[in-house]
Order: sequence, then structure tokens, then C-alpha cells
Amino acid sequence: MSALLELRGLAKEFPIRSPFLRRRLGTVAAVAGVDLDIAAGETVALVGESGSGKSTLGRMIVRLIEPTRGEIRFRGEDLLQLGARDLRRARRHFQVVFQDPYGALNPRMRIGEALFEPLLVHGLAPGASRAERAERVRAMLAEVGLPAEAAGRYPHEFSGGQRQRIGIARALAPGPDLLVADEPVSALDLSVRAQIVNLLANLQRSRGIAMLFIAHDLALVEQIADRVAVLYLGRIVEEGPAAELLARPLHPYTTSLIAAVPRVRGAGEAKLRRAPSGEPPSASAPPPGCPFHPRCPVVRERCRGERPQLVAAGAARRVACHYPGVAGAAGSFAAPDGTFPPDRRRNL
Amino acid sequence: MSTPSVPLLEVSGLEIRFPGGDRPFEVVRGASLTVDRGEIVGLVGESGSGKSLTALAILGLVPPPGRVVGGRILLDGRDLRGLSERALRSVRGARIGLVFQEPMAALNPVLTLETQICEAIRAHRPPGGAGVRVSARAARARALELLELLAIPDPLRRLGEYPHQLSGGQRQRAMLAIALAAGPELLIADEPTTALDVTLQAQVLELLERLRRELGLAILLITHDLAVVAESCDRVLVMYAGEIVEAATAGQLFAQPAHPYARALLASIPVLGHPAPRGELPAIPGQVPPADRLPSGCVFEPRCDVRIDRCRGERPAWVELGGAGGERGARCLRLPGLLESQGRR
Repeated sequence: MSALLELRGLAKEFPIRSPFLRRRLGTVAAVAGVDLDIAAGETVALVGESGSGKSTLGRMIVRLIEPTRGEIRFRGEDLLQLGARDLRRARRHFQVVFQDPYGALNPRMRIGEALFEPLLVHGLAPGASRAERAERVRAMLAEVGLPAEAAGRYPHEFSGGQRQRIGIARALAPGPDLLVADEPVSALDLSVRAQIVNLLANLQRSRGIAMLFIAHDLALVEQIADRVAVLYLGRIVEEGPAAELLARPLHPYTTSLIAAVPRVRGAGEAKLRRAPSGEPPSASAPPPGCPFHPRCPVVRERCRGERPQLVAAGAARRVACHYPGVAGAAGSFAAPDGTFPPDRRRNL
Repeated sequence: MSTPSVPLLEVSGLEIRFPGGDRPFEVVRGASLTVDRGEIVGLVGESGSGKSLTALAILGLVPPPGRVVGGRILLDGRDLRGLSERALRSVRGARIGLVFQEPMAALNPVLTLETQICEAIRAHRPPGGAGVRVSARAARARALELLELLAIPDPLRRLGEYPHQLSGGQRQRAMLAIALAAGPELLIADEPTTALDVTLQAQVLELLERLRRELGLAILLITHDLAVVAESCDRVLVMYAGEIVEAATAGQLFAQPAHPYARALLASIPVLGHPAPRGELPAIPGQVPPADRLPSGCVFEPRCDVRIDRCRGERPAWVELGGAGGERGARCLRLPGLLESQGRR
């Protein structure tokens, strides 16, 4: 199966400058060499703590941040080798949905214009009449569950959930093959999140587009993703099919992320959550050996000196750990058959 | 000293009003709650539900032009609403500590932790030294003790550091140290874990639990995150569109939510290990109504899946539901019948 999107050794280093004289002191690798494939029509979730590099990675793919190294192959074509003109042509195939749709909408532009703009930019509606334009906008609004009269209104007239619907409609306007959704529901009211999650899932299916879903909420990720890649300090430490990876994590970092998901405490039941100790080390001074070793509950001598490579673990999974699966029994609540006792899995 | 029967904090019938374009509107309507010593109570709601304003009202800090126009706020039986600004200031900090979501907004970037914590200690004269100025030496010793209590690594060195030198989790702890400097009995924590990653969130919640246990601290935890509530609270109050719509123990709320809003909200949140079919999360239709355009009857009626005609015209009264928690109740016309029919199912 050939992938729609192939990332090879993708890296982004930011310079660290001294506050005085702007002297360059060194670099911090926000993304330190990522290999990842996304197939057409597939949803891949990118998870990790803040500072893991997940947003930087997403922004490199949609070319909002210039990578330092590596390849972004889209249908086999390296986007980093394209000239400005070809890049503009390619852009309509990959679009982004941001966490805060308000920040992405021009407050002085009516919704109808905002939705039609991407079509104009990509030359997708040459010579459309006024009536044709209105019809296109009406169809776009209907697809995201908004009434036709929304076209004549301004962004501030909408609630957060409605604005995110507009943001999604705008991203879909040029007919992309890949949608990068960067924490698309975390800024929304709790009671409208499920609407937007369903909308994204249904649009993804009806249009057959691929999605890179960037999130920190593992339950949400399980709800929407086919595959999950776990990022730690700019590197993928584990990757695999969502259900399998979340039920049987191989990397101790994944295990601790799952263990940190809050759960309901029943009457008289002891707390089940265990907080992993420590905080992620700074990306500007990553520890030697395995980057997770200072926080790892099952660290051994080898981990302190030798950085594990991301290697295949079974048919569909990859993991970067010298002792994969060792932490599973200690840190996760998965039974040996991979199922979860329901009372212990009610994460809310 | 207070008698044990008086709750540490008792808010009843709180009304907060803002002037509007045509007419004023109430952003908090008839909110009542109690917090006992050593208890962690969650006040949970979406943005705009009035939860943060309720907390600010307890401290006498409702931002103008908003105003508390009704209700009582009793701390240890004494009504804080009648107090002068000066008297209120001595209550804040000394008896009620406050922590926010964003520690960098609360910490002074140009002062060391030592300066900031000692200032808080000396300004409020902790209970042990009432009426006496705390010596610089004693304040420093207390500051060190606080950092140790809050499990900040290498506390002696941290005292001399500035906020930007601390990690996100340490800043949250430093803010807690300042809030706890004067030994308050009640801590109001407004979204203390929202800006943190799950791993740090878990650490801060564990810390709050330990403070309750070791200091007998009462905590009013304000959050939009039901998971945080489930994890750490004894009792929970659910707010929606300016009203407390349900009060229950954490166990009751998550086992069998009574109010249709609470029930629908819990159902709409994905549960790890139990995903709904793709694209079929049980979502709540519609939007949260803006405070100046509330429905005339029940505030949740337009989005409710069990509404009846009466819900549109009649504001529901508070229905006591009894139960083990004692104070269980909700604001819904369909209760208690609804709960019983669900219980049978």
C-alpha cells in the first residue's frame, strides 16, 4: 500500500539565542527526525505532552513552518523540493483546522466570503456567477451543519462550536486529500465537543480524506483514530493501530500517559491513577541514552547510555524501547487479554 | 472557635448581575453551596456557566460592572457580604487562599520566590503569630517549610530563583505556596490543572489531596473538567448557564447523574477503552445559551432530550433527591420521576 503522505527524517531545530546581542547559543530540536506514513483515507493521531513537538510537526506538514531537514512526500512528490508556484498548486490538497477557529477567521469578512476565498485562491471557481457562488457556499455550510443564512453573518456572531464548523468548512473548501487537525476541540465548550468530533469523523469518511489528528486526550484519540503515534521530545517513541496500542502499550511512556488519564473513583475505591514522576526534560538539553530514561519506572543500565531506535514490534507496530512491554504490567490496567475492566476504564 | 455544625463556607441564593444593553441580566442565579472543613468540593461547568464568578463573589472580587445583588456568603457563620473592603482583604489570603489556572499571571516575574512567599506570610500574619509581625527569619523558615510541603525539589535553591527559572509544574506549586502562606482554612482553586499536561495534572491533584489530608484544608475546586472532579472531589456541584443544576457526591454523579444536562454531558465524553462507533458519540445538540438570551423556562430545555411542554414556561425548582450524600438534589421538573424510571431500566 503506498502512502498518501510519507515523512522521512523530518526535523525542525530552532536556534537558542542569548537575550543579549542575539548571539546564537545552540539549537533546540523541536522535532528530531520523524518517519511516519499516512495512507489515503486514514486517520492518524499524534499524541504527546506539550513540548513534545506534535504541533510543530503538524505545521511543517502544511508548510506553515519550514523544516530544517528531511522529506515530506505527498503522493510521492517531495513538497520541500517544490518551487513557490508548484507549492501553491499542491497546497489545496492539504489543509489545516486550528484549535482556535476565531484566530483563523478574518473578523471583518462575512462567512460567505471567508468560505469562498479558498476557492478563489486556488482558482477552483473561475467565472462563477453570483448565484453559483451562493450555491457553493450554501452546500459548504450544509455539509458542516450550518444554515444558509450564516453566509451573510460575521464570525463574532457565532458560538465557538459554530465557528469551528466554519473553520472545518473552510479547510474542506478546496477539496483536500489530507486534513491536519491541531487540537480541534480542546478550545470548545465541553457540551459541543462531541458534535465536532462526530462531524470530523463523518466528513473524513464521506469524503475519504486522510487526517492527522493532533491531540493530548487519549480517549478522544481512541474515538477517532485508526492509528496512533506517540511523540516524546520530538521523536516517535511508539506507533501502531489505535485500539491495540491503547490496550497494550509497549513503551513505558505510553503506559504512563494511559495511567495518567483520570478515572472515576467509585465509592470506597482507592485511587487508580498514578502520576508519573517528574516533568519532560527540556528539548534543548535532552538526556543521553533513551530520552525517557530519567522518568522511566522500569529504567535499566542500558537505557542511560544507548538511545533505542524505533523498530518494528510485530506486524503493524513500532516502538523505541530497549525493553518494550516491561512496564505494561506495572503501569497499565489492561488485563492479559488486552481488555479493560469497565469500572476501571471510565475516563471522563 | 466555631461550632462543628456550621459549615466552613456556606453560600446561599447567590445572585450576580451585569448591566446589559437593554436591561440587566443575572449571570449567576440562586447559587447555593457549602464546603466543610477538610472537604474537596468541585464546582464544574462550561465556560460562561458562572462557576468562576461564583468563586470570585466568595472573595468579594466580582469584576465591575458586575455586582452581587442577592444571597449570603457565610464563612464560619459570618456574612462576608457585609464586610468593608479592608476587612475583606484580611479574609482573603489569611483565611481563604486562591490559585489560578495561569501561574505566570499570579507570580511577579521580577521577584524571587523567597520575596513573594515571605511577603504573603508577613502580610497576613499566620494564625500562630496573630497580631505580631513575623520576623524575616521566621518567614524564611516558613517559606522553606511550604516548599518542602509542596514537594518542590531542592527548595533552598528554588527560594532564590525567579518564576521564569521554574518549570510549569513548579510554578503551579509556587503559586500554591503563596496561597497557603498564611495558613488559610479554605483554598479556592480556579482551573488549577487546566494549563497542565495530564502527567502534571495528576501530580497537582495528588498534591491537593495531600494538603487536604495533612492540613485539613477545605478546597473548592473550580473546573470544566469532569475527569478532574471525578478524580479528586468528595462532592460536586454542576453549573449550567448561571445555575447550579445538580449537587451530588462524586460517586453518585458519575454512577447515576440526575439532571438531564449532567447525564447528557457524561454520555457525550469519550471513555478510554469504550469508544462509541466512529462518528456516533452521543452529542448534545445546540449551543450553550448566552447569558443575556436565556430561555424563559428551564435553561437546558432547548437542548434537553427529555423535555416536556412545561419545561418551556416554568423555571424548575430545586428538587431534593436524598441519598447517602445527604445533600443530593437537582433543578429539573422531571425529577425525581426521571431518576426512578432510569433506575428501573
